[in-house]
Amino acid sequence: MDVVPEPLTELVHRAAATTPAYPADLAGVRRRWRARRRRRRALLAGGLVALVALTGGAVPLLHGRAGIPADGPPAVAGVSSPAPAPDRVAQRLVISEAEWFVPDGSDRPKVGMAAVPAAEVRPDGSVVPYRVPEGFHLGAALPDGRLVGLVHRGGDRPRSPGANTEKAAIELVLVEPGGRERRWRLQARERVGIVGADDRTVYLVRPTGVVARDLSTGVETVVLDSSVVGPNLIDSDVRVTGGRIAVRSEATRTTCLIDVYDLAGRGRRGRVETGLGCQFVLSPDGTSLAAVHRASADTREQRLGIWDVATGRQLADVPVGTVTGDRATTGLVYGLAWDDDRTVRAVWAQLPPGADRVYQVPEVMRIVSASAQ
Amino acid sequence: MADPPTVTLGAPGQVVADPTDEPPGLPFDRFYAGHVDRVHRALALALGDPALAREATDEAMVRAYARWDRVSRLDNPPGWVFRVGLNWATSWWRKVRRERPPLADERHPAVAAPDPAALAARTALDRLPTGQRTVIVCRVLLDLSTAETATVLDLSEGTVKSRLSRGLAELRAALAEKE
Repeated sequence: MDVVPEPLTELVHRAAATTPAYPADLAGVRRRWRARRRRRRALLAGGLVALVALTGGAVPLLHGRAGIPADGPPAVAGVSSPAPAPDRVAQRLVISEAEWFVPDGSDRPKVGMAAVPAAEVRPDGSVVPYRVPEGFHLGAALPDGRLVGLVHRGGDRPRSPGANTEKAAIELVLVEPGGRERRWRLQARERVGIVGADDRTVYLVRPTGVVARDLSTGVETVVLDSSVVGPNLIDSDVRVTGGRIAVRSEATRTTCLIDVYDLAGRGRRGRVETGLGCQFVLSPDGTSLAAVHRASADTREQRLGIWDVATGRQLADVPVGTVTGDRATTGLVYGLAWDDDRTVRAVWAQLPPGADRVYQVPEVMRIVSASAQ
Repeated sequence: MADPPTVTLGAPGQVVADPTDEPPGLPFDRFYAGHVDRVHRALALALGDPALAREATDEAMVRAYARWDRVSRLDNPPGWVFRVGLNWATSWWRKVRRERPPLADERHPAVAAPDPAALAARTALDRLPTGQRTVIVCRVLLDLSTAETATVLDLSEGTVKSRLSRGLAELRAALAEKE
């Protein structure tokens, strides 16, 4: 069906009319734009200051944990930074999030959280920012310290529906230690996401399924066909680790079901049932799954759990924080990764009570750990 | 970070152009006056959250203003603004929404319209999967063609057609059930 019948068209218009009229405020748009321009200029100036402060290149820019304020200068979007040195964790805990603000009715909200383009949270609590290209969408952190992500090239050019998209491209970007980049152009007209990576392979989700792309040759191989788990694989949460793939197969109002498949045998190896809103990651060996979730539909408390994939039995359960609909009080999970096959860390951040400015994530973040018993 | 960071075509860029010298053609204020309410209602229906739609509209209009020299030359600036608002809303609220599923009463219209059929349609639309609802909004409220909807939502035309077909079928069934 390509034509909408007139009676349904009319009903959709009437349904839209139930939304209150938009309080148009053209002057407000202009004020917000001017405020944004001032903020960007201030950030740029701060970035230059941070650049000057970075001398040896081997000292973490920021330190902060468990709500202890950071000592160093603020993290700044796009700032050049030392590349993280390899350490002993199995999975690097890398956080990446856009800035956000608490709406206060004004054109210049003063309270919020600054952007984190990409930064590693090390086991000792130090935070080491990466230098990533503008528009970088973090996909995965490789064990050797490289990051792989996506950049939409040409995204600064608004394009019209139906416009020629040949010049637009999605690029796969590998950020190497020291900030060097390697880029590969991906097919622009197809949705794509990164769902995992190791030192030689990046795993992409495409409409056809999950594909393994060799980082040296660019050759792609389908490792899990969409038909195995359903046509909406690209809209599902998917993570590939340790030769296994975890797919959120179903989310209801009370539970989250995560199926784990073996990439080699392509058979299902287990199913884990967590609470609502699960954000999950497989252990390095693929035998356990950790998730931050809501333990009950009646509570907004988030908990960090570990489950055995084969049996579905829960092995650990620790509280994390509380999610609300109010940005002034809500917390967010910024990252989740395993230190080894037993211990997992989550980064949780929320504004402090009485927040009165824009905070850097390392200032207010809390690291929550859980170990499989 | 369980979400695959899907990059979509038509996503807003980060470069802010200087809009102080607006190009010849449709001035931004006329575009704003003529389209902001329609985009806002489309976002409210697509997102199922009027308050979030208002924020998304504000954000998208500021971005359009910042790039007006280029946005004004597009074939369908409202479609671009809608997409920018949709992207902004879904990227910010993706985590919170995942962690806090909307309660039933949060998804209902913010105003009690004296039009039972409109409320029934709104409720039926709210219960559709997001993908189907967004396609219907693009096709009906924004008056985009199948090809334009496919480009704005970064879908194939086949997917747009199938989502429209399934969405309308479910909408029709839900409304028939009400009657």
